[in-house]
This record gives sequence, structure tokens and C-alpha cells, in this order.
Amino acid sequence: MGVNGLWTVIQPCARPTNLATLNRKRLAVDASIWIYQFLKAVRDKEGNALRNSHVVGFFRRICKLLWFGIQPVFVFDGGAPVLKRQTILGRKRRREGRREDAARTAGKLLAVQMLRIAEEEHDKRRREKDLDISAREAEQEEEIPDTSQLVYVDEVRMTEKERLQNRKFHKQDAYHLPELNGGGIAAMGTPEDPRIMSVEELEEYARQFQDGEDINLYDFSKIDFNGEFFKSLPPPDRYNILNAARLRSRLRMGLSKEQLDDMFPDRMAFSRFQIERVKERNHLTQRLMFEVGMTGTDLTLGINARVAGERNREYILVKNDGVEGGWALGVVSKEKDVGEAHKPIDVDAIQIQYQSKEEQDDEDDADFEDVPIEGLNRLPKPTQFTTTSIQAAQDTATRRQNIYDNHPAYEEGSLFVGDNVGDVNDLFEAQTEERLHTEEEDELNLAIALSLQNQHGVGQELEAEEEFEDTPMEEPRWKQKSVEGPKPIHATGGSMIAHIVNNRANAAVPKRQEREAGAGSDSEEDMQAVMAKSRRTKKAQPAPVMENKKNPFDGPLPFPKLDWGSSLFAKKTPQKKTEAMEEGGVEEYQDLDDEMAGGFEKETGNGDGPKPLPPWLADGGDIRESLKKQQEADREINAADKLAAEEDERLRRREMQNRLIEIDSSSDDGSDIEIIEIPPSPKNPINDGPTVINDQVEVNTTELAASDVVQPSVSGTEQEPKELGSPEPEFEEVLVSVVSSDMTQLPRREKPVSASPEPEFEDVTTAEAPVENARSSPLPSFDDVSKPETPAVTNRENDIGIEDDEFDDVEYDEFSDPGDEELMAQMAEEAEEHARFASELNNKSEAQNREDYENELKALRNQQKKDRRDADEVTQVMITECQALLRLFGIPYITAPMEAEAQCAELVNLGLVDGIVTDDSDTFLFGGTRVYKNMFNSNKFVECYLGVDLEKELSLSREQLISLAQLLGSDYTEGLPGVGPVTAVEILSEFPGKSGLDNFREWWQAVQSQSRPKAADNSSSFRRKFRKSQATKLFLPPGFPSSAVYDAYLNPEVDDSAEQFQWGVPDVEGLRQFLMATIGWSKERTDEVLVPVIKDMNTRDREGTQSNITRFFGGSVGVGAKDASAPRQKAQGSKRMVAAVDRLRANIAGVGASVGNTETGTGKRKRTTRRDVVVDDGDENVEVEGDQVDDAPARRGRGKGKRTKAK
Amino acid sequence: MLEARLEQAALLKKVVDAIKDLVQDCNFDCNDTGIALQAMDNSHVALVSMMLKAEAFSPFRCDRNISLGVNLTSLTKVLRAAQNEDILTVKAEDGPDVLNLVFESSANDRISEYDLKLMDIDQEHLGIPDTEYAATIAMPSVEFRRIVADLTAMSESVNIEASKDGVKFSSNGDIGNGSVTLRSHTDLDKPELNVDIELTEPVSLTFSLKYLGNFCKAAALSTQVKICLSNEVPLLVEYTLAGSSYLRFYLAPKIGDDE
Repeated sequence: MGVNGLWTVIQPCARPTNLATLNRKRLAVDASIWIYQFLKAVRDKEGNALRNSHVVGFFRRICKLLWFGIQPVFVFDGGAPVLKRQTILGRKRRREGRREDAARTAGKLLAVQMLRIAEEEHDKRRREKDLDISAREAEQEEEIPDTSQLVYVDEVRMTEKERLQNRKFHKQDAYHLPELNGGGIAAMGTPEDPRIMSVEELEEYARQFQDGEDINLYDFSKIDFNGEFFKSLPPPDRYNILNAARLRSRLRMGLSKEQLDDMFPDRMAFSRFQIERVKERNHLTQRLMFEVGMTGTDLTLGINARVAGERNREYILVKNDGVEGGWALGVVSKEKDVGEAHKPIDVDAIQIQYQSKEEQDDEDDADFEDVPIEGLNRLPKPTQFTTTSIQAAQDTATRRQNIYDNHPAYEEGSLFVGDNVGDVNDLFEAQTEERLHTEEEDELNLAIALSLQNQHGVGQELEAEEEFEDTPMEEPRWKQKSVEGPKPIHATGGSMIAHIVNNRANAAVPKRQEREAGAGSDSEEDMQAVMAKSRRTKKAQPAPVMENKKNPFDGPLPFPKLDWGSSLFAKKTPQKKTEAMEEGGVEEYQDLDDEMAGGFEKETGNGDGPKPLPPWLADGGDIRESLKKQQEADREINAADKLAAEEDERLRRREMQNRLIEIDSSSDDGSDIEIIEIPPSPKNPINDGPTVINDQVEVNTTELAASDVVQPSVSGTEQEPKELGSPEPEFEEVLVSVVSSDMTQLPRREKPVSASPEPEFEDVTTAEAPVENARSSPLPSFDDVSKPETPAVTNRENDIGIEDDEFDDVEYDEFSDPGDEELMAQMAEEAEEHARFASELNNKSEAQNREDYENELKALRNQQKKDRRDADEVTQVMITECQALLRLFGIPYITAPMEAEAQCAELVNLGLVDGIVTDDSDTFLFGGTRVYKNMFNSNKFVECYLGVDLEKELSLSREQLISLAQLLGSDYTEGLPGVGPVTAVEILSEFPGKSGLDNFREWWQAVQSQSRPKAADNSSSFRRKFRKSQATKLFLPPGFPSSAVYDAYLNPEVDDSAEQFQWGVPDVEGLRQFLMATIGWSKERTDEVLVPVIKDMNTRDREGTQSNITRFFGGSVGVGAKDASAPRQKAQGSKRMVAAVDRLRANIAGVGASVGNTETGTGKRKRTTRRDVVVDDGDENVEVEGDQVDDAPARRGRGKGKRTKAK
Repeated sequence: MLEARLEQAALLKKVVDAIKDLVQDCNFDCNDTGIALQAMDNSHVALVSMMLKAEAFSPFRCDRNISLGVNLTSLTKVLRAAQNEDILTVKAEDGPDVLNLVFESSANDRISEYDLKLMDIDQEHLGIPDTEYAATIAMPSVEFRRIVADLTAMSESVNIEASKDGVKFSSNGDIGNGSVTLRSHTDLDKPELNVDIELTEPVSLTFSLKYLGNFCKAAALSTQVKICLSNEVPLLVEYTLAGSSYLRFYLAPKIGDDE
């Protein structure tokens, strides 16, 4: 806006002005620059424009103007002249560039943040290491920090050979399961060992790529977007989740053709699947829009998925009709009715299909096997993600700690925890169930495939346990073989588990089964309704909720439990996402995690803990039976209430679903019955995972509290392999971990049970004693305790971390491709790598590094803010709003034909106003004078600039100002790069006259073409310097002194109507309503400012306005004493500038004057020049008086105006 | 070179005290006729015009026209060092950076000397037209001060209405209204208590009492004050100093919108 740097040039001419002296002055206000200012300057913390900032700003400023008795006339920009349009185009281009910049800055921001997190994680990990080391080996502290980069290397150095081997195994296992089984397990010798190994490793392994899968597919399908839980999330989280879910929904389509073929042998199924996807994506998109506030589509939100689906079906029907008679297309409405009739039929058909599919699922393992293979096929992708896992792990560390901190609380309040857990469980159950139900069979299959990957760990465990059941105590080898094969089965089984469970339930306890079927029923039609009901009942009755928790153990609950398992892993990811966004929100999630974990503990402890344990311990083989009995007993006791409550529902459901249930049960009856026993055991392992982690957490915290000794040491990961490699130590460790928390004893025992039935039970019992001992003396046990953490936790955290990255990306550039996300992840990894590298290189302390990162972050954030600000534009709506405000204030405004500044200048010249209020220096170039600047800056004096002053003091005529603009750049011209105000004035002084710029161009072209010898310019120091400094930089644009620019400034298109302005009376009530409507201000808030202003205006009306003495005596310019002392005033501006100005003056005034003026420095000279000024002012006064004379009759002329003045 | 000697420092002290609330910085313009001052207040509502003729000084010497930019607050501080009866001498070079003030106590031989830094003040001289005022009121300065003080309690502004019946100062405020009316009055014993009203046509104007209150601080300078009124013209309040020297205040009236 305006001429760059012109204000600094003319600063010496500023006349400080008291606002009070502007009383009853008519001032033209350049409103366009106001809006622009508000748009650019009024920002929230994030750098976003505040809506309606212009209305608020206008209101305040208008009030201020009125308070001082100023009579403003607002001038808005009209069109933009061609020249300006060009420069505006350039600006826009720059803005778009800015937008790119914004994206890039966001990327940078992310990278830096990642750096910092990496640093923190690094720090944390090291601390953990230190702890471990301090417990184990104090001697090797120093080596660790050096090799901190490579965890595994560290481990190798630190630990004994056994551990090394174990670790190696671990590594191999992670990527080559069979090898592990063959080598390490055989060495261990125990039959159960191989299983355990494989299970844990598989779990880990599964998690690794499960992470990838989670990111791509899983999380979001399980989220109940209508659920309270989701709604309770902070809006940004909701937005991010939705957005990610939407992206993900598209991702699913990225399956290879083979994969799709495998998944959907039936074309119809595939198309249906696709439609589902589209539906879901549409649903998500609408939700997203709703979140963003772009709604008009609220109606669809509640039901929309369903509604869309029904409509689709209707359309399909229409098509069928079309097949019958191709011309029936137009009669859609009629067909709707038909469609309703048809609908039920279709639904049945779907159900039948569904059932048949289920049967297929149950009977055909082949399908399932294919599915898992797909999962395997996808592994490569996850591996890419795993690359990011390093950094992710670091991220997770922070998270972990939070969890740790939160954890203890849960253990303390058992009841409370229980309730929470119940709720959480319900939520998750509901979500998962919903998902299962709402989606069609194809979906189910796909989901199963996906879930397989996600639940690999769980599935494996389940498998293992199932295996136990099937072949309870058989040889380890056999199981090893089975481990690989079964996985797929189980994976598929995982999805099947729900069905199976239901079947089982049906078989074992009829009522139970029904209920189960209801709760977890496979039938999709009524599921939603059922779900809603069940949820309601659960919520309504807190007691039943508790029972439900217990029930899961009993047997009917397996379905929910499975969900838990999946939810545990799947849910965490979404939670983690939020972490990246907001820590607060994250904590909530973590809490949930903790609750869940705690809940598991509780369940085990409260429900099954005391009773079941003795039987298990006593007889390994009878476990199943005892469990059964207990389960049944518990069921009867606990479920009684629930049953009663849900009886009605069940009955209803039964009618609907009996068929289905029967079919299912019939198909799987035999096997299901056997399987029934399984559910309790599988859950235990699942439970163990989290509980162990929790225990460790506590231990760690206690450790920290106990010993603050920080020693760089073996990484926690080193110890993982140990566990994996040798199952026995693991158990011991688990026991040790129990020490810290009494509650967790049960899980421990269960764990061994699940993993290796017989031999380990003994271990457990033996271990118990040590546990008690350990309680008394916790310290010794710490070593072991620390080990277990890492495997489970780190993996999960890795997943989380990856997701964090994703979400960050999503947040910043919403529509980035998944590929970009990977890229970002890689970038972040690289950044983290750099962090380490840098810290190694410069030996800086981590704190220092972090500080650096913080600074960089801050800088980038500022950059982002700035970019966003630059990308915003003034809209027509803003202008109309401002004009409405002006109308209510009774203030006249005009829209200039072209430039507002030009119109302002014209108004002054026409004598319609007394001055111009603007911060845009263009006004001078349009011939404006008496320009008031800093009108609303309380920190500065209002400055008045007179065009006459510019000419007299700076010898800058309007033409020269335009020349200056050509050098400096303005709205009409780009200017010369590298030429600042001082240089520009120097150029003007060096090349005087109207053709000065032409001379300059000729000279410079001569210089650049080397046709002008250096000696020729020796006489002028400026030319010499300019040659030296700009030789390689400054290239004059073609047609440099543009006559078009001169013309545009000298002859702007303006409205030269001499019609007087009239001011009305503010419409107070209208203002109140307007402000209420636009910016939501209450009446009180508006009155706060408005009423005093209006009152003041009224008293002025009554008593008259204080007039200024300058109205009566000559010299109306707002001139007062310049408060600065003489020397300071003269010191303003650079010496070069002063010299250049002097030369300018000399050029104009002639040689004699120049001699007098160029002797600088003495007070006398200053004084004399001052005197000159005074004299000049006299001239000005005369002119001013002339204006006044002109004004007087004009004022008299507009008698209508309320506040017009007549003699 | 300026050199001016005042027999009584009190004169300058009182002048500065009277105007320092209206004007912060101003130029003392010195020429061979005397020392003149013209300044507006910040709001450009009131104007102070002071003229100390050469006769008021003994001796007075001014070779060249000099403009002394002075911060009145600073000048007040320096003048506070002078006793009312002290002999005050003002000196300045041509093109001065400082103003030299010498106070000589006649009672004892105490001589104090101060240099006051000067400022470069860019000040506009207003051309004050010679006006034939419709109403001229001469009254005791103390009486005027009292009226202003009393009416200030009622309102912010006062309406001065001069007619054949006399001069009526009236205020209309939130708490009520009040007025003071003066008629021509001649006290032969104490001519300083005379109230003299010369009227060519009735006048009614409204002024800010705040500014009038400021003017009244000059009451110490003179026993009589002359108030000149004319419609649509600033009010003139003049205090006559020794000889033909004067201190004048101009105040722009409040103008009703309907007028």
C-alpha cells in the first residue's frame, strides 16, 4: 500500500497534531485501507483472521472520530486502474506463493516438532537406560551415551552372550518367525517355550505391521462418530479423526486387483463394498463439513449413512424396473412406493446371503487363509512405516510416562475404575458391534482380514489357547507347526470369533446366548436398534455394568472381550493421534487406556482372582472345567439382573434372529461347544499385556522416586529379547512386577496359564512367594521389572508415533496424499536423525538443542502466521458490512470510481473536506494535502502532513514524489529492487528536473554497457558509490520511467462532483441491533462506548461545540510547538538523506541558496531554516484562509444537515 | 544580543504563571519594541498574546530579532528561584542556544544566574484582526475570577449576554442553573472596582468555563480586566500590565449547530 518508504522520506515534515484541534473538521477517510488493516492486523494467537474484526474496528474508530467532533466522510475503493490491477496481480501471485509457503512452513513446523519430540524421547529413553543400568551394571555407564544412537549395538555391548543371542533371536524373530522357532526354541528345550516365544513375538510382529494397517484401515471404522465419547472430544481432534478417517476410507480402495479378487470373488459383493465405501466416505465428508461449520446438511448427519443406503437401494430397484421397461425412468416417485414394498424382500435376501457367507466362513478355511495372506502381502507397507518407528518410539516414550503417571490413581479407586472401565467397554463394544453389524458381509470379510492383521497378537494368543484346548498338553513341536498355519485361521477366526462366541453362548446357556446374540448379533438389520437399546440399558443400570465386566470372563462376554483386545490396540491409535494435537485431549485418552488396563486388573482381581486361582494352580488339566463352572456360577449370579433388564429386548430380538442363530449354531455346533471354554483363557493373555505394562509403569515410577541416579546404560530394548528368548525369566519378571501393585497378581498367574499350562504353573506358585518378598523389598526386583516394559510398550508406541505423524500431516495439509504422509514420516525421521547427529556433532547439551528447536519452532510459527495473514483478502461482504455500519452512524460515504486515495485528494482539492485520514502515502501522489496519519495510534502523535511542507522543506513536488514512487515501488509500479528511500532521494537529487529519471536511466545503461568510463563519474561521490554497490544488482526494467505511472497519478479517475456532504444522527437502536447481529455484542457492550459518544454529541448540540480559535484567526494548520529540542529534531534521518534533501533544495532554489543550506550542523542554520518555514507557513495560511472562505458559504448552503452551520 | 532588565521579577513570574497552564512551549519573540509572545493551547481553542513593551524594561536592548523557544515549565522552575522584588535581567546571544537569567536581590548583594536551554519551536503566528467589539466590559479582575469560579461549579460553559441591562453570566448545568448579572457601576473612591460596560449591540456567546478559569490566573497582574465580546468572534480577555504592555487571552466560542 502506498509508496514504499515514502513516509520515512517525508517524516521530517510531520506536524504533531492534537486530535482536539480537529473538532468539527470534515475529514475524508480512506476506508479501504482500514479494512485492509483490520484484516491484516487483527489476528488471534494462531494467526487466523478474526471474523468481523473489521466491524469492530470500524465501530471503535468511528466512535473515536465522533468523540472528537470530527465529521468523517468515508471513501471506499472502486475499481482498480489497469496499472494497479497489474501490480495487484503480482501481489496475488505473491500471495499464492505465500500459500505454498504456508504449506511448506507447516511441513517445517512439523519437522521441527518431530525433532523436539525425538529429542525428548531420546532423553527419556536414556533415562530409562540409566535406571536399568544403575540397577544392573554401574560400571558401564559411560559407554552408553556414546552409542546411544543404535539401541541394538548398545545392547550387544552391554549384555552377556546369552542376552546377545537372545536379542539376535529376537531380531530374527521379528522378521523371520520360522527361524526363531527352529533355533532358539529348540535350544531352550522346554516344550512350551516355543509357543510362548512365538506368541509373544508374533504379537509384537503383528503389532509392527498392525500399526501400518491400523493407520490405513482400522481405527476409524471402529469409531462411533455418533457416540458420546467421540462427541466429547475437542473439536480439533474430532476434525482430525474425521479427516483421517476420510482419507483412510479412500485408502481402502487402493488394494491391488488380486487382493480385491481374493476378497470379493463375487462381483456384486465388490460393487456393494465399493458403494459402502462411498457411503462411508460421504458420511465422513459430511461430518467433516459439519465439524468445520459448513453445514447445511445437518439433517443427514444423524442418520445419513442409513438414509443414503436406503436411497441407493431404491435406485437399484428403479434400475430393475428400468430393466423391465426401459422407459419407466421418469416415474421415480411411484417406484418409491414399490421400493418400500420391495425393500423387505431385499433385506431378506441380503440376510440370506449373509448367512450363507457366514457358513462359508465357518466351513471354508481357504477364504480365511487368503485373507491373512493379504495381510501378509501388506506387510511391506508397514515396513516402510516401521522405518518411522524409531522416531515414533521416542514419541511414545512421552506418552508412556503420562500413562505411568496416571496409572496409580486407577488402582486406588477400584470401584470408580470399575465404572469407568465399564463405560469404556460399553463404548468400545458398541462401536465394534455397530461396525460389525452395520457393514455387510463383504465388509465383514474385509474387516476380518484387516482385523487379522491388527489382532495378530490377540489372534495368535487365541490360537495358542485354542490349540491348548484342542491339544491341551501335546508336544511343543506339533504346536510350532500349528502356529504358523493356525494364524490365518485364527485371524479369520478372529472375525469369526464373534459368531462363534454367539454360537457358543447359545449352546451353553440358551438365555445367555440369545442375549449375546442380541448384543453381538451378526444380523445386521436390527443391530443398530439392538445396540442402542443395550447401550441404554447398560448405562441406565450401573450395577449391571459391573456384572457385565465380570461376565466376560464367565464366557458369554467373549465377544466384548475380543472387542477389547482389538479395541485396545485399535483404540489406542486414535488416542495417540490426539496426543500429537493436544496434550489435554491426549490425557483423556490415556486415561481411558489406563482405565481399560485398570479394568482388566480389576476384573481379574475382583471377579476371578481369588476363587479361580486355587483350582488352576491345583490342576492344570482341569482348568477348563473349573473355569466353566465358575463362569457359569458367576454368570448366574451376576447376570441375573441384567437378564431381567434385557429380557424384553431379547424376546423381541429372538423372534427376528432365531433363524440366524439356529443356522449359526447348527453349522458350528460341535466345534463351538468345545470352543466355549476358550474364551476365558484368550482374554487373559490380552489382559496380561496391559497389566504388565501398568505394573512396570508403577515400578518405574517408584524406581524413579527411589533412585534419581541417572546413568547412561543398556537400553530397555535389550532386555526384551531376553523375555522373548527365555520364557521362564519372563514369568519371574512378571511376578516381580506384581510387587509394586497388589492387584496384578492375578493376571500374572493367568498369563502363565495361557502361555504354558502345566510346567509354568508350578513356576508361578513358586514365584508368588518371591513376589511377597519382593513387596517387602522392592529394590532388588527392579531389574527384572524393567525388562518387560519395552516389548509391548515400545511396539505400541511405535504405532502411535506413526499415527501422530500422520495426523500432524493431516492437520497441516488436509488433502495431502497418503504418499505424502509417508514422505513426511520419512522427513520427520530424517529430522530426528539429524537431531541426534547434530547433538553428536556439536556436543551441545540436550537442553541447548531443545532450546534451539524451540526457537526454530517459534520462528516457523511466526512465519506461518504471517503467511496466513498475507493470504487473506478483503471481501465485498466486509465492505458492505462496513457501509451498513456507516449508514447507521449517519456518516456519509462514497465509493470512488477508482482509487479511494485519489478521491480523497480530490475531495480536499474541491474543498469538500478539510483533510484526509489515511496511512497510505499514495495520497500525496494524487495531490492530496493535509494528510493525517497515525490517527488511531495512541502511541504516536497524530501527524499532519501538508503538501506544501513537502515542497518547501524537502523540495519534493508532486512530480518528484511520483518519480520517487517509480524508484521505490508503489501500487502502480514495482520500483527498483535494492533502492531504498535514501538512495531514491539521492537519485532524484543527482538527476534533477522533470527528465531526471530518464537521465538516470541513460546514465545507468551507459554504465552497465561499459560505455561510460569510470572517470566520468569521479566528480560525484554518489555516482561512484552507486556504480560500485549496484553494478551487479540493479537492472532497470524495460520502459523504466513509465509515463503511464505519471499519468495514472496525475490524472486519476475521480468523482469531481462538488456536492456537499451531510451528516445525520446516529441510529442508536439500529446500531445495537446491527452489532448484535454481526458480532454478537450485547446491548450493554454496545452502549458502553456508544452512549457516551452520543451523549457528548447531544451536549454539543445543546451547548454548542467548542470552536477552534484558528477558525477566526489566520493559520488554521494544526501547528503547535514541536516538543523535541532542536538538536534531536535535526538528527532525524540519515546524513545521506539530509544531504540529498539539501541538494534537492539546492537544485530548485539555485546555487546561492544551496551554499547557504549545505553548511550543515550549526544551530544557527537550523534556526534560519526554521524561520524560513515560518514564513512559508504564512503563505500556507493564506491559502488555507482561502479554503475557509470557500467553505463558509458552502456550509451555509447545506442547511438541511442537522449539524450544518449557518451564520 | 538581547539584554532586558526588569525592576520587579514579579511581573515575569506572574505572566508565566498565568499562561503556563495553557501553553507548554512558546517562542518569545524579541525585537526592538519589546518582547512578544503568542501561543495557542494544544486544542487550539484559546490563544495567548503577551506584549512586554521596551518601556517596561530599564534598560532594554535588542539588536536583532530573536526568537527564544522556551519551555514554560522549565522557565517557571527557574523563576521560582527569584524573589518578587528581585531585579531580573534577561540576556541572550544572537542565535542563542540558552537564555541567561540573572536575579539580583536589592536587599542584599545576592546575585543568582541561570541558563535555560532553548528549544527550536516551529510555531505559527496567527494574524489577529483588529476587531471592533460589540461589547466591552471592564470590571475588577477579582470579580471576574469569582464569577467564573462560581459558575464553574454549575456547568462547563457559561453564556455571556451583554445587553442594555448589563452583562449576564449564566450557566445551565446538570444540577441546576445560575447566573450573575453586573451593571455599570462607578466607584469614585476605588476606581479599580468600577464596572464599565460599553455596548454597541447586544451580544450573546457561550464559552468554556475551563478556559476562562485559566485566564483568571492572570488576575494578580492587574486589578482591572477588560472583556470584549462580539458575535461569531472569539472573546478577548485583556489584562493591562505596566505601561502599555498587556496580556491578552482569546477564546473561541462554542457554536451551536443550529446557529
